[in-house]
Order: sequence, then structure tokens, then C-alpha cells
Amino acid sequence: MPAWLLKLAAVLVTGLAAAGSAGYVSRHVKSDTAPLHPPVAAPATTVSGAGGGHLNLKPSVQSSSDQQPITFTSVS
Amino acid sequence: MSLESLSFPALGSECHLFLVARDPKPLAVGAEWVRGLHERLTRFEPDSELSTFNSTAGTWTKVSPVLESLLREALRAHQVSHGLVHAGTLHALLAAGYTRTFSEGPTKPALRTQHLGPIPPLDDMLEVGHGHARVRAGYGIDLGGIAKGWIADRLAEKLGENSLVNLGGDIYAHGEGEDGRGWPVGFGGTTIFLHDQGVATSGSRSRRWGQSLHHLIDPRTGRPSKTDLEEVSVIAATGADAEIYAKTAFLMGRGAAEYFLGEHCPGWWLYP
Repeated sequence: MPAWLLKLAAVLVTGLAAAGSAGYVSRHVKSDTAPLHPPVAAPATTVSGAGGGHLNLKPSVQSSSDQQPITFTSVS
Repeated sequence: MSLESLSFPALGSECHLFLVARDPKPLAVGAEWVRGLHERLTRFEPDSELSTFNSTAGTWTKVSPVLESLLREALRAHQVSHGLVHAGTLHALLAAGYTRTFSEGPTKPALRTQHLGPIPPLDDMLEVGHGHARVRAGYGIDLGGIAKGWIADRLAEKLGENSLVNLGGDIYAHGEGEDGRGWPVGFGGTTIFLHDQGVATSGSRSRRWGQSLHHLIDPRTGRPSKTDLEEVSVIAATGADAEIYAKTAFLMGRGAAEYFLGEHCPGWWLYP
């Protein structure tokens, strides 16, 4: 095989690899809004109560300010 | 099926039972069970099983399965709370003046400081075997800090698949409630829906009998606790756990409580 053919093949492979990489990168631009770490469990929401206390409920807790309770927790 | 309920005094508090069922009879049976446990576990009656156990401090004493289970629960609470929920504080409660039940009126203010100081770890003063137990001489057990949540869990199981037990504010809700959304319970100024969960409140706004004298002893000092919190309510998997976590958070104070409860509980209320 002539040497010039090997050189031409090497140039073509290098050029195709560079062009392919540039195309891939341009189609996958980094998002500035992408998270830097995996999502974690949502934190508890803190609400200041009318009486001066602080209520914290994680999303797994269902609550309603409209529903009347049948009983309540209290200090005893 | 309808929502049945029953209220009665026991365990030094007002108790409320709820059951979704055709037959309300289990409520009366449950109330009788709670009254029986009250007679067995109160420290204010000299012939109760707990008083008898305390009077034999220093020697191995035969205990019933219920008392044995509660003493084991006391050791678990001590471990879970990093030593803060301590059932071996009877001598400190008496020294602080909590010598009689609040149904007989406020206790006379007292603080006999010569009896006060850091309290040894519970697992150094209490040993529990099969059918017998021993508390170290000079100390005694008070189950007021752990019994109600523990009893609420067991009573809800006894009552039926859809029931709620509230023993003086320490609650366990079993099942989905009357309409399937969960049991609606007042908590920190709102209503939460419980489903196989417990809630409890711990604080110093009740059972007070003088300046800085209340029933929550800090085992690190042996005195009524001083924290920047007056009241803590928590949600947990069981009533027993809720009672332990609420008391632990109260004794920790706000800063550590927020972190501790965030690790263990889906919801909490801190006052102030």
C-alpha cells in the first residue's frame, strides 16, 4: 500500500472525528439551569402560626385548614 | 358503619376513643383496659404494681408482662433519645415537688436541691429480665413520659382496623378514618390527616407548680428542664415514637430540635 494513501486515510479519519465531535457538542449544549446534584427529598415547609409557633410539614403529610378535626394533640 | 366515640378520664388525663364500626362495644372494653393499666402503672397509688416495684429498689422483683414490656420500652426510649427521655427520674420529680396527682390540685412548690444532680444513664440503673426486673437502690421509675403513646398504639390495634386513640393528647390513628382520607386531627393550628401514624405533644405549659417547676426533668441536670421551647408536637410512625421524639426535641431546644425532627418525623410544631 502506498504511503500517501495511508497519510490521506489518517487525515480523513482525523477530520471526520473532529467534525463529528463538534457536531455532537453543538447539539448538546450545557444548560445553565441544569442541577449540579441529583434531586433530593423536598424539605419541610415552615409556616409561622398565629400563636407564635412554627409548623413544619413535609410533602407526605396531608393537611387542610378547612376541615374540622375530630380530636387534637395537646400537652398533658 | 358509623363513627362511634367514647371519652373518659384515665392516666391523669382526658381520653377519647373513636371507632368506625357497626358495634361500639369495643370502645367500652378498651376504656376498661386503659383504666386497668392506670391502676397498675400509676406511681400515685402505693399498692400499684409500679409502686411495689419501686419500693423494692435494689432487688430483683417479679413483674407482669405489661410492666416488663413498658420497662423495655423505657430502655428503648432512652436509647432513641440519646439519653434524654429518662424513666428513672422519680427521685428528681419528688425532689422538685411533684408528689401527688394533679387531680388533687397543684403541688406545693418545692425544690430540695440536695437531691438534685445529673442522673445516671437508665441502662446503668434498670435491668429487665424475663418476668423480673431491678432498679438501682435510691432510684425509682416513673412511666408518665412514655406510657400513653405505647398504650395508644396497642389499644388502637385492639379496637379494630379503623380506630383512633387519644390518651391525653398522645394519639395513634389506625386505618383510614371515616371517609377514607385519613383521621383528621388538630395539629399546630391546622388539621392533618393521619393514616397508621401517631402524634404527641410535650411541653411545660401544663403540670406546673411554681416558678420554673414543671414535670419534664432534664436528666443532664436532674432538674425541671430549661429550654427555649414551651411546647413541641410531632408526627411519627407510632404514638410511642411520637411521644419519645416530642420529649427529646423539647429537651434539646429549638436549634438541635429542628435537625433531630427533620431526621425522624414528617411533621412537627414548635412553640414559640
